[in-house]
Amino acid sequence: MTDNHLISEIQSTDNIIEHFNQFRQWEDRYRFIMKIGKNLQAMPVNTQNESNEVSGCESKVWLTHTKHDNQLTFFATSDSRIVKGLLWIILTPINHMDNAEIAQFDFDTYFEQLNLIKHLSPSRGAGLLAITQKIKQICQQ
Amino acid sequence: MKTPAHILDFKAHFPLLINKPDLVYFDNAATTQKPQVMLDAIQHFYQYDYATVHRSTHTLSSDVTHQYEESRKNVAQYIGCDQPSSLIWTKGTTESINLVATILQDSTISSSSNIVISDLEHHANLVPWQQLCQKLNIELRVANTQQFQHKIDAFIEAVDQDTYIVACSHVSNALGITQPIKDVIKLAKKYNALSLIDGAQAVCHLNVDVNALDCDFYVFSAHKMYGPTGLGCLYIKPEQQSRFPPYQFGGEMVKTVNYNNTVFNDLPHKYEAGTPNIEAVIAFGAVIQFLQQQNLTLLQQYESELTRYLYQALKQRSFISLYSPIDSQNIISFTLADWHPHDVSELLNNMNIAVRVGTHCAQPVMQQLQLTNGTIRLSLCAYNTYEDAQLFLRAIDSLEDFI
Repeated sequence: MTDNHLISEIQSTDNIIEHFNQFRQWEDRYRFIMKIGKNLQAMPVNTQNESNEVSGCESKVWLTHTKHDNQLTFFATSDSRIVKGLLWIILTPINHMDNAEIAQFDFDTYFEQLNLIKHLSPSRGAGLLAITQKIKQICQQ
Repeated sequence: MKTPAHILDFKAHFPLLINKPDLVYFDNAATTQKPQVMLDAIQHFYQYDYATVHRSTHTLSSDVTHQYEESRKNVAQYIGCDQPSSLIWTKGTTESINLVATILQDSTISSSSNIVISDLEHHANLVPWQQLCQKLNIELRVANTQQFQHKIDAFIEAVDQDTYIVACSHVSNALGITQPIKDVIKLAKKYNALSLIDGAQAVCHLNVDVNALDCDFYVFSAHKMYGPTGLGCLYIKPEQQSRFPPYQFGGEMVKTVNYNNTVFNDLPHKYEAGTPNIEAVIAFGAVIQFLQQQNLTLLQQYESELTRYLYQALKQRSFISLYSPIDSQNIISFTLADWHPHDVSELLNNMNIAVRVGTHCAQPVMQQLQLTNGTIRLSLCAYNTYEDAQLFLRAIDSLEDFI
């Protein structure tokens, strides 16, 4: 499932939800999350620093963005494999959206459709919320 | 290895473990599970005996006051104290330490004094002293045990004639290291300094005798030794009892009050203002009685054997770094190469294994070990089985399949 060909196809929220929901066991869900995190786009040089750290996550998370022709692209990483996977799940669809779409994007429904939050610890859930709030904030700037 | 029958009998007293047969509970240093006798005592208290203590003269109240003071007597005896009035009820270890730090603040500490703690302390036995030192502008000395090798030497270096109090944990919560408290107390005495021992991680696993230790203060929590939450103990040595001012003011801690003056009550009431946590005291009394009926020596031996077994098994795995010593007291702190501790605990949690990860309310200890993300901490007690240990080891070995 981490095959590059397949990865390149899993990009919209619908693809991700469909792919995720085929897992019947928690082990498969976590294997997917921990492996897919390796496909996160690398952070731009010198951006993995304190000023880009997202507070409120139990592991370290860095989030930054670039703006080309007014189009935002987000980059993020973490020192936790699980969080890296979750970041891939968050960033992959939104990096294919325009700014207005990101601003409108309903992360809660997306996570619900992924059946994700109830499998995560409460503090991880809170961390995810902190990340999505930061993304929304950036969109409103 | 098979779990002995007497351990399975002991485990059978804990309803949560029976109701959740698949759970491997290795977070006992945070809090232990509760025996049925405790739940029965609470239910019986509210169904038959409920009233306030000390204040009222009706039969219900005098009966419950009797039970309440019997609990105090039993707990005091359990830690080797033959004078029950030396044992004060608090909310927990944290409040016990804060109480002592507060009453010392109001006593006369000279500006040249210092306070000594060890470099293995839980935040609860560090921050109150740090704040007190900042307030009084005196020195906080941290006995540097040099990566925990030369234990008493560090205290010998730190304590001097200006030391007002030495505050030291009996057993470190982050690593399970047993501190040389007998020598620490002796050393403090030599310099006329007070001594406070944080026994939160010790009382459940070691025989504590405050009389023999001869410390000035010994503090612990009920909930870490099979008892209820919201109840802690503070032992104050008899000689020190009239020396310090009250902590909080209110009902029951006074003898006489008029608008101009108040005469304070004697110990333990002087430090127990307001209606106490009666339910927890009654429940704790029942737990102590239950523990007195067990063969504690056998339980303690078993806990040590199980800890050694897991320690050796983890030591054999090259991807594991251990931070607890081989003679660790029921706690094994470790990391997995290339794994974030939180990822490990999340996967273990999905396998029904409860451990604690992070800095364990002991950030300076983790800073010394240069472990930004902390460790994974297994903390065992007498109801954990060899099957629990084997399930845990299998779980640890299965982690590499996830990446």
